[in-house]
Amino acid sequence: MSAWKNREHDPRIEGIASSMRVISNFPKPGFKFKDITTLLLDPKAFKNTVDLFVERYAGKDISVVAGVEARGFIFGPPIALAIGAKFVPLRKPKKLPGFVISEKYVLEYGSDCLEMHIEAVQPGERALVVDDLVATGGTLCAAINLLGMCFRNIYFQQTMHVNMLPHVENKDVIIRCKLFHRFCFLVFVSS
Amino acid sequence: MLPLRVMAAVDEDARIKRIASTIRVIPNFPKPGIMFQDITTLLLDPTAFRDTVDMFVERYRDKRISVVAGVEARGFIFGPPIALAIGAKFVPLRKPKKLPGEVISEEYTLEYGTDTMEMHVGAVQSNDRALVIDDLIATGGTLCAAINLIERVGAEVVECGCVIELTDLKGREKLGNRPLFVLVKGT
Repeated sequence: MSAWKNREHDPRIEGIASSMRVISNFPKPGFKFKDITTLLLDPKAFKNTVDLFVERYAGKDISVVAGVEARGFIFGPPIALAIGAKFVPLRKPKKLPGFVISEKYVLEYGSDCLEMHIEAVQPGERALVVDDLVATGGTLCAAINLLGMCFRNIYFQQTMHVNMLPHVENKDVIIRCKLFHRFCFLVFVSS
Repeated sequence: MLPLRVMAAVDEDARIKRIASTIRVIPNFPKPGIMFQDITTLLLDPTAFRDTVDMFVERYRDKRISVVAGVEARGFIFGPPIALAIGAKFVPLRKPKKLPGEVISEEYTLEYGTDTMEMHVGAVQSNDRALVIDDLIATGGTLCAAINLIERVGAEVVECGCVIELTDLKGREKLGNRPLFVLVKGT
């Protein structure tokens, strides 16, 4: 995998990139799956990964780190703990026990749904969304929309720039949004 | 001035009280009659979440633990911060077909039917000293499956650590002689 070319070369990134592995034909033929479990087996690489995010976000008044089930649960909490933010799990349907809001999103075949506890975030909070990987951006858009349902204007100045079509306050409406990758903080980009 | 060990005990008690107070119980989830112990409200309290992780880290940092295994999905929330703090590997134990590489599997019994837990081949070595972390122990079935996976590759499970123990369900007995450490006991 190549390091993010536009960023200043951080010596930790090579170690992080090389600790991951690619598994061919998973979950389906033709796919090349980026497996982060081998990064987690390298305590130094795992620590460096978390540190890179913490260095970026500490002191920026972020009160919520939302992690997408399940691999976002691995990276989100250590970041939340280090910057003193709440951790909010964004989960597949029927896993969260309390009152939830949900957001449908489109998959290659069919659709899926992401849920968040309704009282987890308050208007005015500044949130970070964390996941292991962004591919088409469908899951992350659903996450952003869930957080956005709680307050009218969201600005993700540090993390991503989102271009959203106007939407109705209906939790089952599929909302299209585009992620502009140049505004995302990515540890690296895979070809 | 109280002796240091008494002060430590008082502090520990205060932390546990705070942690316990942040956990909420949701009745009739996922089924009627079940009182679900919801840790998401603990995660909304950065001090309680910090204290939870700290209490495990204080217990395990000098025990030469090389692996922290976390059970999907809530074990993924507590396991990694512990692993990072003590310098151990983190190994996710997952539902079937989630892990992309070669796996070993362990079937375990649920109230109705069975489920399967998987671990990557090569993640745990025979000379590893492991912790198994989950948010809660109920009947102990899930933790036993996790222990079996780790012991099958020849490693030692030093202890299981959970935030909550549902004592009525006797999960501790099911673990047999494997040590279990919990922060909060609930019914």
